[in-house]
Amino acid sequence: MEQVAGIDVLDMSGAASEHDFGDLLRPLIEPGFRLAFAMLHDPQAAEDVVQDASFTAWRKLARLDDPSRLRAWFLGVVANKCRNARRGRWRAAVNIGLPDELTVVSNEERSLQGADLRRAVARLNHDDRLVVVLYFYLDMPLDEVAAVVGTSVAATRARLYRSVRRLRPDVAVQEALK
Amino acid sequence: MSLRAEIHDAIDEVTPPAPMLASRVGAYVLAEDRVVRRPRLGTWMRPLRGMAGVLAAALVVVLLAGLVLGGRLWRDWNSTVTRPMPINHTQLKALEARPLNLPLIDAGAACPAGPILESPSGSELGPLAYGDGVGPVYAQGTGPRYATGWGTYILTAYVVRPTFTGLILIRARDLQTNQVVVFAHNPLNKNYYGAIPNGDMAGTDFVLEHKVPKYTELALQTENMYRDLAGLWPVAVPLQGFSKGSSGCIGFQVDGTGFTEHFVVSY
Repeated sequence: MEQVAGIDVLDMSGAASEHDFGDLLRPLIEPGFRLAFAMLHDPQAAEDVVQDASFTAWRKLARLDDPSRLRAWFLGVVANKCRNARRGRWRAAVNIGLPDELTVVSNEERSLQGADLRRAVARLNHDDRLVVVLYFYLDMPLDEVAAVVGTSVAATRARLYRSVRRLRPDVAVQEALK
Repeated sequence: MSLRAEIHDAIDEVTPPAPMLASRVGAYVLAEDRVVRRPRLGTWMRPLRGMAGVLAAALVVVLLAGLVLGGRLWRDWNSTVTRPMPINHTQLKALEARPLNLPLIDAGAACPAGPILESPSGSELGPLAYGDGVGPVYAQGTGPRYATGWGTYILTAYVVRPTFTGLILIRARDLQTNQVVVFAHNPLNKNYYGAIPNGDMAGTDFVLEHKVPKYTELALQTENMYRDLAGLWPVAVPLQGFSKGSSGCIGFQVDGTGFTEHFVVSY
């Protein structure tokens, strides 16, 4: 409820302060960065996206009609920025961090499996990857994932099923969704 | 292991920590917000508006007086504070004096793009998977593109071999139209101290809702550039701009102490 109170204060005074930012958006920066990095695999691009998304969100905060949706709304802004960033083929170009090569060099089976999984996630299209990252990596409930993606819960569940099949064709979907 | 745990492990394994990100983003957002947002005062504060104006004006006068009177103190203090190394203008002028050796080609002719260095094992080029150029400077101009009324900007990554230190000058031309390529800071990341748009100012443009000045050269100062995750390769990611009508066949000349490098990129 702190977020609700924070938005009310901001709306009434209109004064943007570090205190407001700390209350409202600061707790969302870290999950926003994790989402952006998981989507882009590029730390610099992820930071750019989070910074850009934060500014957009801050400017439009007053338009958020349901403050309890703040996290989903903010992550939705981050996801849109990620989509735009990928349209520019940035991720394909600058693999700062080079996760795949590093794991190959490490020659550890677990790392290789991780690299395989990252590649599989990276091959998903934007919307499929988004639901996978939100659900499995950010551990968000399905209804909140649906709010971020902007579709119904049923449609989100169907997309998640399809994505899991692509990631792990050999694993039962229900088993994977545990 | 569940798929959820596998995904956690796979992504966490390569996710770098960003402990200061929230603070940086907060500072950026609030600073930008002060520029674009006119504060709305609460009803209870409105009677104070006049008094606040007088106080603000007085504060400005005091600040200006302080700046003028404290100029010498400021200069002395500044000389002792760690800050990005200023450009060596003598060295820069020497690099600028080197003739630009970029050929013109006929309109419609095939673009002589290259050379490109691939990095199949991911170690030859630091953070890049491939690089335009022969070194010690490599470019990868496949970042996000931003179209404006003037032309198109591309976020371009430059890396410099860790063995090279010093000043580097980058100039570029459209090989078919001879239009000058311009350079600008990424307005969302103004703290790339080591990449300095330089040369003649070629006007301003609005990119990502920010006014950015365009320059005809880019200076790289390796000592002040950011480093890749391994902390080795100096990295800079400025904007490169091509005006409308550009053929997209761009020749680059990179000059530094002891080398001149040419490469051509077809965008």
